Parts: sequence; structure tokens; C-alpha cells
Amino acid sequence: MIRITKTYLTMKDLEKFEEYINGELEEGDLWEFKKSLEEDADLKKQFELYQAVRQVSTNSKKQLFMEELKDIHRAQQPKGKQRFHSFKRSWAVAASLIFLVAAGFGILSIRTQNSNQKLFETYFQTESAAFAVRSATNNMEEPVLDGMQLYELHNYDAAIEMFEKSPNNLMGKLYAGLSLMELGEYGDAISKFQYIVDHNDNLFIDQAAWYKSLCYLKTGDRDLAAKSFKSIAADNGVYKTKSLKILKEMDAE
Amino acid sequence: MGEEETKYSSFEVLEGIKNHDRIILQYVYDIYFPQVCKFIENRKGCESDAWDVFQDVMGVIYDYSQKPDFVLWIPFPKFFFILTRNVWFGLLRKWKVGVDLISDELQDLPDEEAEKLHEMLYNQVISRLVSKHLSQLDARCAQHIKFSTLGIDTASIAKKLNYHSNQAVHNQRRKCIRKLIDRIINDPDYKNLSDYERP
Repeated sequence: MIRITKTYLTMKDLEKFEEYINGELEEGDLWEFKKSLEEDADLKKQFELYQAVRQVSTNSKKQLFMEELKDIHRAQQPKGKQRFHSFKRSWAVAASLIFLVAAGFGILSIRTQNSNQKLFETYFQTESAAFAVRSATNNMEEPVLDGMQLYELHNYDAAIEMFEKSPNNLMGKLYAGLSLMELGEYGDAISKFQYIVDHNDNLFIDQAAWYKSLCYLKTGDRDLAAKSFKSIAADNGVYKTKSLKILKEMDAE
Repeated sequence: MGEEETKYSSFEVLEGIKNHDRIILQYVYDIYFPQVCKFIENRKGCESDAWDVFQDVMGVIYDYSQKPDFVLWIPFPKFFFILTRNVWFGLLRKWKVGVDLISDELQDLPDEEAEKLHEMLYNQVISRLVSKHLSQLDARCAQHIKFSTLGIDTASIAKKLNYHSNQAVHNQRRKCIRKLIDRIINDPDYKNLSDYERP
């Protein structure tokens, strides 16, 4: 059975944890630390938690997965409630139908716009900055690092201002584009992504091309979007499968 | 439960989970979450219990999907509900809540999988609790922990968060981690963890 930890974790304990993880304990201290973990079940539990904190904060891929699930759950909550208001919903549906009939030839364009919107919402996911920060902290320019932190805090306007202080930094350009997408400024986002694609010798081309295509979809430029997705699908990049899927769905409509 | 027709093959679902495929995740949520709710609400739980169980089961499946040698030996729906039953009945046993179990519901995993599963569930619950309490910490503390674990050097953190010395950064980081660990230890879910421990 687990023992519920009651002992207060001291700063000294945490210092030892850090030193152990960083491989900084000398032989004698290391032996003593391991022995104390064996003898003190509470300390062992606290050390397990300390390791878990480090792991959760750095395992951003799994965190991202769990966040995606939470997003889906959050998005479903109001829908769940709507089920209990079928009368209101029927009126809304009826009103929509009347509107569509009245719109006559406008129907087709509304349908296309809705399907673009639906596809965009299905495929657009907020990009985490955690991976990028981790992989590039050593040579990242100061304003870009600041911008990434602001992006992570969803402060997109301030993030864009920071990225603009390093106008030639491609990572900054990518996240400026993503920030603009979050703000709904898709036209400006396209030009940021286009810059990266045109540069043609960097690590962000795949992402830039993918998000640029999604921007086309969102702004209703379906032909350009299809062309752009086809070009991604023709390569063996990370967005190949998603592009093939989205093209299939666009064809099916 | 777990026997229904499926739109995607087990392989497609597992691959979708592995690759964060939004369409598959939405599909899994739409199909399975209501069933988990129904299952748990009929067995002395509520929707919030169901959401915790759903997250833990999905977290474990995600971990399985990332293992290069993992092969699903039964159809996905069956796998999903074996995990769900194990998680929920494990909790009920811990809470000493009696339920009338139908023998069919006591499906167990093969022995060799059971031990692995217990360990993965234990880690998943810990990870959920860390994540939950990290998001509830004050923004500065959460940022502090995140910066440190992302490998940003102490001097940069000191500059960014306006500390006068590297030692001040170390001290504050340890205070924040201690605060986080204390909160987790006092969470009722942490106290329920004994059922997820290795047998």
C-alpha cells in the first residue's frame, strides 16, 4: 500500500534531487542519497513526484495530446446542453431553412464557405511553442524568445511586436504568422508563411506551407488551398497524410 | 459495450491517437466518452468521474501507441473498455463502494499486460495531477518551472523574471516546485493511487 506523504519537503531535499538528476552528486553523497531513498518511503514518493514534474513539463508532445482531448471535451460541452433545447433548435433550423430558400442562388456559396470553415476548424490546431523553444534556445534571438513566451501566454499582439524586432528570424516569422492566424488576420499570416516558403532553405517550410494552405481555406480561396495542399501531398513531409486527407474531404464535398 | 460497429479499423484509431489526428480523436471522443459516462453513471459515478477515467484511459493508450513494439492483440473497442473497467473498478475497490458486477464485466488483461498497465496507469494519473496543479499555480511560478524544465539557463531566467542573482532563481524555483508537490500530495486522487500501484 502507498504511504501518504506527510513529511514536509525541505529545500535541502530539493537541492539534492536537482543535483542527483543533473549528475552532480559526488560518490559519497550519491551513495547516501540512494540509501535515504531506500529507507525513507515518503522521500521516495516525493522524489517520484519531482521526477514527474520534470517529465510532464518537458514531455510536451503528450501534454499537447491531453490538451487536444480537453479542447474537444470543452467544445462538446455546449453541444451537449443544446440537446436539451430541441424546441429552440428546431426554430433555429427552420429559420436557417427559410433564410437558405430566400437566398436562392446563394446557397451554393454558403455551403462551400461552411465546409471551408468546418475543414479549417478540424485541421487547425494551435501550435505549441514549447518544442521550438527547447530545440532552439541556444541560438535564439532575445526578442524572438520573448515573443515565444508571449505566444505561449496567448498574448498574440505583444508576441507579434516582439517578432517584428527580429525581422529576418524565420522562427519569429513562423510564430508571427501563427499569432496572426490566432487573431484572425489570415491575409497577413499568408505573407509571413510565404516568406518562409520562398526562403527555401530552413526547417520551417513544412509548417509554413501547411498553415498557409489552411489560411487559403479559411479565406475561401479554395482553389489556391487545393493547389497548396496538393503540393504538400506530393512531398514526403510531415503534413503529407493530413494534406491527402483534407484533399479527399474537399473532393467529397 | 465495446462490441459496436466501428467506422475506423483498430489500426487506424491507434495510428490516429499516436499522431494526434484530430478527426480520429474527435471520433474516439464522440463514440466512447458517452459510453464511458453511461457505464460509470450506472455504477455509482458521475460525469466528472467519467471524464477523469476517459482521460486516464486515453493517456495510457497514447503511451502504448508510442511504444515501437506495441501491437494491439484485441480490437480497439474491447481494449478501450477493458482499460475503462480496470480503472473504474480499481477506484471503486479503493473507495470500498459495492457494485453488483456481472461476470462479463470482470474481464482481465493477460497477466503479462496487467503489470505493465498498472504501472502505466500510475504514471498517467501522476501526470494528470501534475498537469492539473501546474495549471492552477500562479502564472509566475508555473512559468518558472516551465523555463527551468525547458533547459533555459538560469542567467536568462534571472534576466527575464527580474531576479538579482542566479541563487535567487534557484531558491524561487525550488519554492515553486515544493508548492506544486505539496498540492499534488494533498489531492484526493493522489491518495487514491494505491490501486494503480504495481501488484
